[in-house]
Amino acid sequence: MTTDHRRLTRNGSLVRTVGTGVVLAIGAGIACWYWWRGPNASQETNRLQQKEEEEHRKEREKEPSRCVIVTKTLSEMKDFDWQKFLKDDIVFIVVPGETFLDPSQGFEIDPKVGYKIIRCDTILGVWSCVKSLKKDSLIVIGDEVEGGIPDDISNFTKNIRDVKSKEELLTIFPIPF
Amino acid sequence: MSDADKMEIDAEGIEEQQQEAQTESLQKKKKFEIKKWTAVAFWSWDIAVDNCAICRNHIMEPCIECQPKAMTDPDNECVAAWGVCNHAFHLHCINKWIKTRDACPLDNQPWQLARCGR
Amino acid sequence: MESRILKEYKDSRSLQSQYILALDPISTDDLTHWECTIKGPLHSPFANHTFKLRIDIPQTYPLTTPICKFEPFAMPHPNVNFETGEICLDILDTNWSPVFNIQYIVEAIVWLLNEPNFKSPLNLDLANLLRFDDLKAYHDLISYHLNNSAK
Repeated sequence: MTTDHRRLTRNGSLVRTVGTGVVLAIGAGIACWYWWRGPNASQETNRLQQKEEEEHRKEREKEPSRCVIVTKTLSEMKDFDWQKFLKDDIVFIVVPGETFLDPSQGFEIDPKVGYKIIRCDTILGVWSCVKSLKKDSLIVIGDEVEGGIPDDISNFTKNIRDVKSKEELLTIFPIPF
Repeated sequence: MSDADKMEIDAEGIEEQQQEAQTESLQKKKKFEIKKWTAVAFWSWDIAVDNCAICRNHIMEPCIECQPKAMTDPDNECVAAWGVCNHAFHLHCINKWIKTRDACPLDNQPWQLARCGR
Repeated sequence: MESRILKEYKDSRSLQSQYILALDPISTDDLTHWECTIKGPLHSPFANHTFKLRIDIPQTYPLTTPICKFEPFAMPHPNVNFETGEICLDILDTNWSPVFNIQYIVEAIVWLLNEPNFKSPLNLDLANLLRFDDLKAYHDLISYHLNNSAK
């Protein structure tokens, strides 16, 4: 090894030329690689960031899901166009003894959205449904529900709107002009 | 045939003569004669199940784990085991199962070995 | 007990059942992971819907029970965990017997869809609807979840 080294240093200029060439070639290679690689990698992260931002925007724009308990006042608003709201992320839970968009009363409901109406035989059943559905907000006329709103419901839905009048209800379900 | 005839003769004496004449004529001229017959017998294992319900191999053959060994080692002792409930499994299979739960896999009653062998 | 599962695989090729639409190993190279498609039983809230089951066979099968799960958020049933698809069924637990096979388990699961048991719930709200004998709400809530997850 040492003898080889000595022999090579004697031909110093050749070693220097070849050495410089190799170093330059490696340098150019690395530079090229970064040049190719660099923009691609940053494009990738940009794309991911954009996608993430879009998802956040969608999340913000997404209307909150709603769970509506149908009691006497709602049930009596027969002429109101409830079907319009069935397109939303919404569930109507009908308390025992009330009717709501009942096919037997001549209402024709689009079967694609008809599943969003849940009819109950017991008031306990109403609350079990609310707990199971876990919607963002609950709209209920608390005074019209037998036994009122149970305390533990707040554990299952973020926002409870205890509506006091028909007028207040109409602000939640605005009639389009 | 003759026994039945006698009984009839005893009961109904009036027909005695007629009956005797008939018997004689039958003996003289047989309507059917058996010239050849072939016996057929069916057999089955006298046990409740024929496949071991655990490994699904036949109870009289080695269990699923001994099966590959059985070809090279004919002396391999893989025997059937009967419980007092008369359900049968391979001894190897049932011994493994009762480590999990000491109950007959078929009737869920506590497993009690009645006998084992071929 | 690898070859018992091989026997079951051969049997499953000729399987004909009203409610089992498909019962196949995910890969024929490995018979320990199966996928099954079942049809919701008639006269149950699950009629007209199909469900996928994932069945994992342990090395100790048939001495220990296979692990069966529905897909997450696909099966609203009192004895199924809605989030995970985990199933509570006695024969998959303490009442397991090595006599049972994969087909038998799947048939028992189909049977369970029609015969829910509110005493061992994994979905408390649906079990409570049964407990309150509120069958109308029970059917409608199941129907809601089935249609909502289908979207």
